[in-house]
Amino acid sequence: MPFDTVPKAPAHTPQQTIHRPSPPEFSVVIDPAHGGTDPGARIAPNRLEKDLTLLLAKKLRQELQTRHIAVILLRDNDSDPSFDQRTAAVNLARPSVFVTLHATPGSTIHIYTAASNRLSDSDRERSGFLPWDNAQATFQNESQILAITAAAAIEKRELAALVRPSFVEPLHSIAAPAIAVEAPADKKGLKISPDLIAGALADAIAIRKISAGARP
Amino acid sequence: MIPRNVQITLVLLFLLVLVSGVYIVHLRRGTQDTLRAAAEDQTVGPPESGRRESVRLTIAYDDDGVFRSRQVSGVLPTDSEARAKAVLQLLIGQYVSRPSPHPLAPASAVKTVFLVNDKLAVLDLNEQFVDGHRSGVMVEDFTVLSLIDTLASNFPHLEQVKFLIDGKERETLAGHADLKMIYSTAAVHRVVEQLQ
Repeated sequence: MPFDTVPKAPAHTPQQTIHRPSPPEFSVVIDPAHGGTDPGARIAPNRLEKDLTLLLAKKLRQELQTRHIAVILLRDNDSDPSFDQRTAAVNLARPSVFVTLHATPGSTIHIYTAASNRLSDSDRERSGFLPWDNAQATFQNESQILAITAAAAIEKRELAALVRPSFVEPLHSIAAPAIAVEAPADKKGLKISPDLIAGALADAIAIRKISAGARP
Repeated sequence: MIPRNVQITLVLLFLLVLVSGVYIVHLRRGTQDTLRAAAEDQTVGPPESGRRESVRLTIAYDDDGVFRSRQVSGVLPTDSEARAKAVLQLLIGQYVSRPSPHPLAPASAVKTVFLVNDKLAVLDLNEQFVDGHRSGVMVEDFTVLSLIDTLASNFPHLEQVKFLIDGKERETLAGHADLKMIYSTAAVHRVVEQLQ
């Protein structure tokens, strides 16, 4: 699985006697949905969702890197990791933010957060083991804030964005603030410039980085 | 002695009869295949024997991105599992008819509903349901949510719903909506309420 930029471990010097816990490095995992034998939505005979998600993912990576944010791309070619492989890679990387990208026929950008499948998810603690199928439960508030921030950043560019709960894979298993973004597309490709979408998402993630107090 | 021209005519007539016979057999087979395919494609409606009752459907409207409740009447069997299947077929009937608020493939159907202690329902959908389903986060979510909420509206004791496709587990409906999950009917209703 191609990891584009793996966060570096903090450097240790033997002379150090006092260990201060350094703030966690802020990193983002981007998942271009589908790939390989899974084309996703067939937007037109020669226009497949898997290609558009990869295009958008690369733009988002570029935008985040210009903001000095470490990025891991779950695929940067036409491979098709399974949902379990994607989830395992994300949860092992312990990112600050997870974004899965989709494309579909339509005219509006949709931002999804994991719909809760339980009635008392907020009671769970992050310190212990998280159930695989419900790891997102303890991050739901942060995911919601991220989704609203992303929608605001998109609206700032005079585009419409709707925030909705969803049961889309693999959001429920992600142990990090997580959103799914579905960009509108037609037979010509993405209906909204990928630069605009990626720029707005990168802005929202940069705001999240500041609010998380991560080191620059 | 038969004249040569009559011989030729007879041979030609014989060949004509033979070719016509083969053609008729071919047409007959074609008609049978068409009838069989049409019968397989038909959405199975509720049986006409039984009591006509009011059923509450949670219908997805793609264009507006919302759910709306609608009361319809239908003939429902007395057996719980057959009843649950009939309720879902009424919902699917709304989607496969044209114009449809949330189009599904014409042959989409529920094969069986298994009820476990009246609290867990296992819905076994046919392959055409999934193979012909549109791919997208919202359209797939809408199908899953409307099936679950319709069932829970008519079976108030139901707490959980699980999906199978032709008797087997599948990861997603058409690449997006999670089908491995055991859905909580209360949690689904909460989402549906947000989108009404």
